[in-house]
Amino acid sequence: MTTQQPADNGAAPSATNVISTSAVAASATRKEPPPEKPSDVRRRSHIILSFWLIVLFLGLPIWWKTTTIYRADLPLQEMLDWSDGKACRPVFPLRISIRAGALQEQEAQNLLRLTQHALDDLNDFSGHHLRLQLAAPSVTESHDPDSVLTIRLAPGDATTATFDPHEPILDITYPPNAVPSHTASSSPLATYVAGQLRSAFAEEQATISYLLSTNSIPSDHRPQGLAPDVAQSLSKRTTRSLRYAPTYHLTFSLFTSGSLPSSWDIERAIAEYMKPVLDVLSPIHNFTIDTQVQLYATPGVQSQVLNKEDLSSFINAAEWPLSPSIGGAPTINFVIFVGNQTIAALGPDADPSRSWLIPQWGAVYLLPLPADTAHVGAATLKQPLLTFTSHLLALTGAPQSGSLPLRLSTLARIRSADLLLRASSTLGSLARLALALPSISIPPRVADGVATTIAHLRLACDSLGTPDGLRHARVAEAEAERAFFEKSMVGQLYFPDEHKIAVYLPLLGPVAVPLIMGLLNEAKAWRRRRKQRAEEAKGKKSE
Amino acid sequence: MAAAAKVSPGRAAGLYAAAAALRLAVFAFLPGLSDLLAARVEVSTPVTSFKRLQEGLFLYNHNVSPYDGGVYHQAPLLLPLFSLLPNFASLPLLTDLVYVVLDLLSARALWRIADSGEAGSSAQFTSPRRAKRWSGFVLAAFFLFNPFTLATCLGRSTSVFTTCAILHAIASAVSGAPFSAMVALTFAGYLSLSPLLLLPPLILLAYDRRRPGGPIPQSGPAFAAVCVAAVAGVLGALFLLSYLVTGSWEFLPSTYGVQLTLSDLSPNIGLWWYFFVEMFDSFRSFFLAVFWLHLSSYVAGLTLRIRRQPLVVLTLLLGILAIFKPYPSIADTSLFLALVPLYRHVFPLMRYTFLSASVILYSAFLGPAFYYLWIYAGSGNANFFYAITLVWGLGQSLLVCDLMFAVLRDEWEVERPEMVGKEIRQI
Amino acid sequence: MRQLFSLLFRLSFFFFFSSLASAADYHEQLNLRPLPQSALLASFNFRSNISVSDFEKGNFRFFPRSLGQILQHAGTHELHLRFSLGRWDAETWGARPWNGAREGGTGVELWAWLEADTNEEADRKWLILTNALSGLFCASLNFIDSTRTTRPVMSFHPEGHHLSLANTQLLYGTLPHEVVCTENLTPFLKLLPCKGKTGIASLLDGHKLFDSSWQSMAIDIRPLCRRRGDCVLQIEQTIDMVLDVDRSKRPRHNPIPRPPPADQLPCDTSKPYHSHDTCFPLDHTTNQDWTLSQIFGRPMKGTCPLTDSKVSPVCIQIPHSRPVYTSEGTKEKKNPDRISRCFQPDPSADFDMALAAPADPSDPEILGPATPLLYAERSFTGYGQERGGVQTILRNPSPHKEVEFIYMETLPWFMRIYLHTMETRIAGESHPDKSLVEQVYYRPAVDRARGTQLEVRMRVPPASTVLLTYDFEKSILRYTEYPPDANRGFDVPAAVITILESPKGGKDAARQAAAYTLRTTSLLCSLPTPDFSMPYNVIIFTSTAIALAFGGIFNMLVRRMVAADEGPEPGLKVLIGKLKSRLGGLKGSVYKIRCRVAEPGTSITPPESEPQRPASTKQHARRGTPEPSQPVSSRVEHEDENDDLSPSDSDSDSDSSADPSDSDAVDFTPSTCIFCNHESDSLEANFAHMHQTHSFLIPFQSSLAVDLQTILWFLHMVIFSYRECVCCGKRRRTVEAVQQHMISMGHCRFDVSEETKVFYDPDLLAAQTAHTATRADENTLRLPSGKVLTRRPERMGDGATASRSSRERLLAGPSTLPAGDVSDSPDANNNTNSNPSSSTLSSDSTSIQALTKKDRRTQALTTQLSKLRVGDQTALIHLSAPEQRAVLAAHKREVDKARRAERRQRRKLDDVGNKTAVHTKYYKQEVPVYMGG
Repeated sequence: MTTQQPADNGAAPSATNVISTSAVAASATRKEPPPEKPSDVRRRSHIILSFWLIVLFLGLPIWWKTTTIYRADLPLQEMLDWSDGKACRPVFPLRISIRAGALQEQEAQNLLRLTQHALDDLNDFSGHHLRLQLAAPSVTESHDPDSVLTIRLAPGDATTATFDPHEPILDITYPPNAVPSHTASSSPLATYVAGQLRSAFAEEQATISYLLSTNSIPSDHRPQGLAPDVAQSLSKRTTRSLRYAPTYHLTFSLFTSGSLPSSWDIERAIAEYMKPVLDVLSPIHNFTIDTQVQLYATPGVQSQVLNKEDLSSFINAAEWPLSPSIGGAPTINFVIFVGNQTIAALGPDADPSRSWLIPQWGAVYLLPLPADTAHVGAATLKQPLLTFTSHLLALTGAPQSGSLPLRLSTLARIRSADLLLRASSTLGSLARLALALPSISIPPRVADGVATTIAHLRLACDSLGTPDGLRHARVAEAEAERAFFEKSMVGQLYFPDEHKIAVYLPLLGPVAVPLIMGLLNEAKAWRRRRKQRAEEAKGKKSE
Repeated sequence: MAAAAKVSPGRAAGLYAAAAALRLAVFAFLPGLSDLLAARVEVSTPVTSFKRLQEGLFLYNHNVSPYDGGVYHQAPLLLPLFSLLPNFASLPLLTDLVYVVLDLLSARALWRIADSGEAGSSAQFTSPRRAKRWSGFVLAAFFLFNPFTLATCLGRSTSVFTTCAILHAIASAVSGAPFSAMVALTFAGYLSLSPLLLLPPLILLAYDRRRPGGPIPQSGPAFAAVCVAAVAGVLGALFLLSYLVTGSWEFLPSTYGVQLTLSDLSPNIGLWWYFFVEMFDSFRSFFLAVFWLHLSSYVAGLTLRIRRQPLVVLTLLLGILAIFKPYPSIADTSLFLALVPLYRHVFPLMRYTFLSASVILYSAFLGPAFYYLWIYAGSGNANFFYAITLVWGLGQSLLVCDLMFAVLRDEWEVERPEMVGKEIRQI
Repeated sequence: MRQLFSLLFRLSFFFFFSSLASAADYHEQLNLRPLPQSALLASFNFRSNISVSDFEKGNFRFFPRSLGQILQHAGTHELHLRFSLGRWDAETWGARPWNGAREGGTGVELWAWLEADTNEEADRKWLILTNALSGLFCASLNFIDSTRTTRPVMSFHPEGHHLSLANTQLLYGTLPHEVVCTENLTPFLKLLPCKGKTGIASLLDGHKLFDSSWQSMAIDIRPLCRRRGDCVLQIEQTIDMVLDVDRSKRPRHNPIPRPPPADQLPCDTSKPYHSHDTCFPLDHTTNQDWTLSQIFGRPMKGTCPLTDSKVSPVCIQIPHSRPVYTSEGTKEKKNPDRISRCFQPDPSADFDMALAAPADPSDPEILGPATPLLYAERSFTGYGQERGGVQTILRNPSPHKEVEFIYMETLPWFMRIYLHTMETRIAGESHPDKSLVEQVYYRPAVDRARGTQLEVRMRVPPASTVLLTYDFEKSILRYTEYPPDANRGFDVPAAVITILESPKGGKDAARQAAAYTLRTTSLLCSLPTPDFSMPYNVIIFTSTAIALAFGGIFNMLVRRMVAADEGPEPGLKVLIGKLKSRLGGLKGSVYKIRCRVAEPGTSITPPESEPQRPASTKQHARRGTPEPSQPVSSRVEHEDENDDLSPSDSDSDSDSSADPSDSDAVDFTPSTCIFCNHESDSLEANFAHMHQTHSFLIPFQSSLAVDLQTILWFLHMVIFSYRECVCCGKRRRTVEAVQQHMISMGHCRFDVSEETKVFYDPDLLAAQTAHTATRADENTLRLPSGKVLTRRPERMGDGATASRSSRERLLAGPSTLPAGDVSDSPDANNNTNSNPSSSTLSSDSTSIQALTKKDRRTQALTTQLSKLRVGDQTALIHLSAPEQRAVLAAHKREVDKARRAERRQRRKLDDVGNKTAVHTKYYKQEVPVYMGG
């Protein structure tokens, strides 16, 4: 430096002052680097661009694809509407046809009108109302399928009402003078019929209104008053009955404390005493059956007289192989225990019963036998099986009063309402879950399940009280459950965000800093260049 | 070419003979050593191990699909090649000969590259320092007697094939044979995925050194297009051939999928394995993608920045591959180190030569020791070996950066000759 | 003889097979067999049938319903389940019970024939089956996943009679890690019709069972057909256990083994050195006298009434010569083969039996153990956690009968076996013998999906031992894939060896029944483990390594190279510069305050410092209420003193040291070289000397506005009074140092710069300003010392702030003198104007507020002139600026001298006073105010 500096100073005076002085001035301080070649500038921007292209067009999509949780979009609002009961207003229009062959058209119409009035006066539940109609006289068969109940009016000597045991038919006889005249604003016969009908459907009405009230149905189409005692008995019944399933698995077990008896004729007994009821129930439930004999089974309580609290612990769950079936169908256990224990009389006057029902599980029957019976015949099993049949109806949740066909049709309606509400509430909880956990994944299967559920709910809601209403409700409930208990949803592990930072930052942070700085500098330089160009352009213009 | 003229063919033959003799002697008289090397994680990775190749060969010869299993992850065409050779167990000599010959071929290619003088003066740039350079003889000697190269060859790692293919690709590109360059590179990429990243700089190199009146069009884009087409074509042909050999496409996931997803976490000198042993499952795929992107992101940048010396770009990329590829071994390092002496003329400009050299030596010696402590002695845990792999990677990246700096400064001083020997900085 | 026993076992086995069709739906039998070294093999066998029609209808009687449901649901045709514990010591105990057909490897084993058309269906049913069974038996069978499931090809053969196995699949799963214990026995017993309440099952006690040296619980379910259509489904439950008699006889009240007293010590009389006083203790008493209740801890409670009366419940195999005592009511039935007898106990009473010592000592106590068809041992070879080998030793004891068998391994996927290293070698021979292997079925493992399945059909020549070896490699897993006890190792299931019925059987091994089955022990394979506490550390370290490389390369890619002294400052220095200049702003305003205080009214603030007024007011605001000027000034002085002593200040003491040197060096002689004090005889000679020796040269002499002497004087002043290099502005303590610096660094140059323009013609000046105006900031003017002068607000971003600040301190110090006068004598500043020296001095002090040479110069000219009397101003007005400067410089030098003397003594004072104050908070707070420039 010492050598060359004087040289160019010496050379300087001849040179133009600007250059030399600037050089001299610069030599004393930070020099401005020589202007960069435009090619270099372009090259740099290309390099930065190349890196950023990779980041933007490969890095970001891959990041998105590999780290986002798939959430199929669910119709959350609609689901919530269903669970709040806004989407469906359960209405059960029950058509009851009256066949009065003995009356003229005119009188029949009149009677019909009066009865309807009487019914409407009695009815307080808008969701569940009875509609009377005259059966076409041409119809010859005793009961037309699309009406729930048929009333056969026949002249008799007194007003009596009897249910047909095999078909939903109510036979009413009336004294001839009971037929109302045209002008009569009311008639005892009409009131009587109405009262009969009402009493026939009172339980169903109560049950349905109870179901609605237990679910979150807005109160406008909820029954006004439900007597507390009624409500309590209903709640007991609903808790006792198993939750609905298309198929129930019945297990009949013979337990003895010793080695005898070791065989029984259960197959024939079932065929004789239980099959009819099962057949009647078949439109609502299917049943699979298996039986077993268990020897050397000691009950949970050894006492000779079982009182109320012993009954619950009588079943020795630890030792008795009563494992539920693995098929998915809920199992109803019917246990016959060979022993001479007796149940303490529940009431002073009640006769000591031999069996009791265990809510949502099954029933036990104590069967006393002589010590040396090696084989239990079908006849011996009659009483137990009949008891079990009634227990089965209770467990399936069928109403207790009324004729069997009527009870079953009622059961169908109750079940469909139940399923409908259950599926709706499941939808609601699924929606709430999806809202509550933003980090949970929602696979497409769930979305499909929800879609089908809603579709079937819609259908079921439109056709409540009819067989396919039940069918749709059944499908909807199954789908809703499947969607709610989707495994991959449950299996989704939760990775907190601060950990995500700890995972991302160490690599992406240091790498991103130079990239971003480079980009910023490049942008700055570009703006400066543009300004310069603008100024140059201005300068040219001014010259 | 002057350097080449200096070396009499006699000396060349002597060099090759010495190298071959050394290798064959070890193979013949110290079979234990070569087996030991073959078992080292530094030499043979899951995708280059010779033992795995033998297993695949065994299954292949017994009509079990070698890819229907977790052991064999190498290119299908190696199978018929080795099944042509006599059974290794009975007659290993021929197999060993193949490896020796491959090494010699690589050395020959290196020689050609060195003598072309491309390193000193490329088509668009001529270094003022180019006079100071080593002859191809020296480079070949460096390569042949580099302990890493020796270990690789003695360990019979199949990466020898890849090395040979890459060097020939560069050599033929330098000597103005673009097509054969592309074919060679395709072979390298076919054998072990990552060399395909060398395609852009190789095309540039071939373009710079193209002979006028060659079969390939002269205009840049057309030239590149033809090259890419050639690579694609040859690759397709190779895949088809392997399909015919193995009878199914399942070699694709098993050969290249393993490199992409790192399903085999066997320890090696790279940075990937321990990272993905410890990585959380929910981020695994993301970081796999990030690592691969990081590896490939250098290609464009380097190619643009050092456009005037494509050979430098190739060298640097090879160095980067040797650090950051999924299953690196010392074979990749030896390839990089074989090309570094080409830049003898910029050595004075390098700043951390001593540091990087000592770090590399340090880890090269301590690595096996710590691995032993972890696996056999049980007196150390995995972190020992992991730490050494970290140091190894750092040392190599230091070398790469240093070489890059030297080359860039060399270019820069052409623009500003007054700055020779001055303190400089980067803004 | 031994053949006979194994034959017997086989016979009894097949006898049961044929007897199944007998009307009885249930029977049970306990088979006792004393073994050498006081071991006792007890094998319980329970068998119950159900007709297929009943099974399909679901009417279960003896067949357990819970199991039947599972079979129906999983479409299982035949099922075999094993819970095993311990190792069968074939060397001592001989052949295995049931010919090994009723035992499994350690842990749990399950294989079943499932009805399935596709593999997927089979897997689905297999999943159902394993889950259901794991629930039923309280075993973790549900862990039998795809990696532990194989589909054996040659090894297993159905025991039942199947119409066709066309659309069934055989799946085999094993759990070597499972520990079998009591909670597996309880459900096992619940499956029995008699529930372990009566019959032989009442002997089964968890403590005894799992205390045995070897035990195996088996459940086999198979369809058996006598005629087409008349088929039953049979469940056979077997428990085999080898009890250590001594151990079992250990009394309840002291279960802990203690050395017996010397007199009861059993001695080995066979030893030569045995004598009356030396005793070689026997580890096993060979005598087999025990009672049932001793062995099993309780007597047998009657018999199960359901059992078939034709099959006697208890049998024992000992020579007929040996008496057996039983409880009364028991019918003993000796079988014709003279080696076994059976008992029919009283159905209701407890049954116990006692085995007494043989009446005649010469008679054999027990039956010799039956020789098995093959001995097999498997072990690992090699060490370390990287790779290893497996070696199986297969010994064929029979002298003249070749054994052909199928060796089956199911290995976990992380054991990567190298099949090409598998070799079979006859012990004693050096090179492998390929001919031993007849057929190999190999299904390699797939990572995380499938385990290795290896089935070798091979043979062992008579009376020879064959070594089967192969290598494998241990792979490292993801750290989430290791079990909690990762360092314990991973269990490798036992190898299953199935010996075929006829050694020269045809190729279709699947159709041949198994003559004998044995299993090796399971192995423990230790894998390399990562550090489980490391995930985040590893992420950080690796990421850092990558980021370093990336950052380095990327920076080199995008940055451009420049010389070290080119371009903008490196970021850090810029930052520091900013900080300093901001503090400088404060300091400037402090000076401002002081000026206004020092010369009320008279002082004319220079235009440069105009913009700084607001700053000063701001300063006031910052200091709270605007104080009366007097205290402020005093405070300022005080700060000033502090400033002079601030430890960070190097120049203040340098002054003190340098004072003597420059007190006499200040006088200027034009003939003296300013660089080496060389005396020339004339100014020109001096310039010549300087040009030659120091290559000093004044540029553009043509366009100089003043004579060379003025310039020389100026430079002289710069060097001698400011001890500053004329070229780079470096400051030294002494003049000699400055000269030394300039000569050595070759800084003997004189550059044209902003302030030296005054020596040149205005047109040149204009040219230069025009030139500099194009620079980015035209406020910036540079000194040779590299200082940048700008107007206050923009005075930022230059490196030499430190030196400038020191310069200011040097100049600022004296300025406090007049203020000090003011503070103690108020009249002093009334007659300021009348007193030239003090006025110039004070005015100088004002001018010096301008912080740098340049504005000090220009400002000095104006202010000093303004301070002079009108007469003097007019007297000087005709002179050119430099000449005026020369005149004023004379004053200035005296002023400097007086000032230094004054400051010296004050510092002495303060050194005493502030020794402690240095560390006071107040002091520290105030220091920064003076640090900046």
